[in-house]
Amino acid sequence: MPQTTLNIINEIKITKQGINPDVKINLIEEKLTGIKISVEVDLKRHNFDTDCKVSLQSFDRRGSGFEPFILGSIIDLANDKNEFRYFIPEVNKDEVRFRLLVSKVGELKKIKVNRIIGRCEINKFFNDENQVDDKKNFKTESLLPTKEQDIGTVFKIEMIPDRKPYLILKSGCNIKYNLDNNIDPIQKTLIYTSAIRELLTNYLIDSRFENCIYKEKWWKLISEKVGESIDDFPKSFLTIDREAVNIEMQTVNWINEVSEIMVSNLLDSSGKKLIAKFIEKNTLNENRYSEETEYGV
Amino acid sequence: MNIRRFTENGHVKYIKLYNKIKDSINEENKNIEKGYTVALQNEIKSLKEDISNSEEIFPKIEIKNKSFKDSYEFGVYLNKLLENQEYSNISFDKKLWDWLALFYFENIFSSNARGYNENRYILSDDWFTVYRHLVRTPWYVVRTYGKFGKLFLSGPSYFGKDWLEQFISHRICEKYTKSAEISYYLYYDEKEDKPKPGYSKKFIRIKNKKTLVKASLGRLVDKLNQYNEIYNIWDMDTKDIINLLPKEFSKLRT
Repeated sequence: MPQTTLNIINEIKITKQGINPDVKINLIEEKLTGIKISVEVDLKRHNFDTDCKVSLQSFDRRGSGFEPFILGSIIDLANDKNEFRYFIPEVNKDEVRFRLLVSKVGELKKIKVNRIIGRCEINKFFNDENQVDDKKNFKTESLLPTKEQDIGTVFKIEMIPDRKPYLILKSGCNIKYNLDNNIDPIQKTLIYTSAIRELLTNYLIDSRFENCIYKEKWWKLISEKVGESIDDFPKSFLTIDREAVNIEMQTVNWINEVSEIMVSNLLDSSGKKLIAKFIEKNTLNENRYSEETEYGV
Repeated sequence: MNIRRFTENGHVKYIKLYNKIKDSINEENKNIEKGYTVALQNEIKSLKEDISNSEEIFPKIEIKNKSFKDSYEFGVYLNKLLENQEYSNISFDKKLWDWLALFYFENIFSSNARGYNENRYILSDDWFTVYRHLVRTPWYVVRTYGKFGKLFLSGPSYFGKDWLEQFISHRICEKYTKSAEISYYLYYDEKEDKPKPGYSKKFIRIKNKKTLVKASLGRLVDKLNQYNEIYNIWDMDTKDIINLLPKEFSKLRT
């Protein structure tokens, strides 16, 4: 059903970056159980009514919002420096995001409402944001970041519509370190080949990802790497013919080709392809084995 | 008996055994009664009795094997048992939840059930299916939404609940606990002590055409998402939010 929202009250945009932003959120400490943050707010320049309430909401990795912290009313925040510290459970620093709201109680058709009149969406800590600006030209976004968790298998893919997919690696066995630092090309090749196959298959099977923004980003990246238009990409993994469900072989071939290009041709900082490193490492192992066998004889 | 959690080995045995039950049911043309053979029932019994497959949790908590009127009553009981346990320690502890699933297997596994998917008995890692577990979910819903969780836990413990499935998958519902309160006031018939029929699904098929169900739970979720962009709904009274809802909800408001 189409929905139209009439914007009656202009919301005031609260700033989070640049010189003297209205709100600064910084990370104080990251623990296994959550993160500790500091929040600095100075909203005086906006002249909000003194009874307006200011609250800060944090969101977990799935985009589900926690109950907001109430920072106070505008009159409570009249000082030059208003600093708060909070602990947010069950989130880590790379995934959390925030929403600062200024709201005012009013009436709509005799119903008491608390309308949002100022807002700021915050996706990065203030310090990180400034660091990104400094390195603007060098910063790239990983579309499959890694993280460690206590899982039963060596790795798995975590995918949620409109959230970045994650490559979850088993904690306590150094795989994340090896992968992130390009230490073991064999491990990296095997894990990424399988992970990318699973990711592409899920994007093509599960209709919940139809309009996912990260699927779009992945499709754009693949299009650049394989030199093929997104319009020519397969649309589904399965076809339904009456009651029979069939795997679309063209799609399987496409997934294989894309995985090959995306993983085997992955370059490290020295410009070496991952597949070349894989072959080199395996050849080295083979030579060592031959030498040892030779020596033993 | 005290509450226990599986050892690594015990957990693997349980997962294998459940998959064996599932395969057996599939072989019997998805007939649960035929597939869950006496031999498999005995295997469940032996696994339960063999304490070398599990270890007690601390502090010790006594647990009773009893039956429950519905999943809500089951959830209330589990919350009482686990009230002194740290949420983050137990929330995703597969070895604990799956041991409890084995302990209450007779309650949550029945030939009257409409499904026997493993996610009901083996805690899933996936956000989409984690809420299908027939033991953890009643605990989680009562812990999170209190008495308003009744709407989502109505029906026997072996039933996968459509109300819950339609509700919990939305981000706005997960932590905004007032969403459960609003849903309860709109859709739970306290006199009949059960949910009002016909509102759990957002769409139904009428004459082979996908048709929107007015005032359904899905429509409520749409409205809450919309209000969340305009109002600070966390700071608003549930009654005011209910009164804001459009006309289609009128007959549910009373």
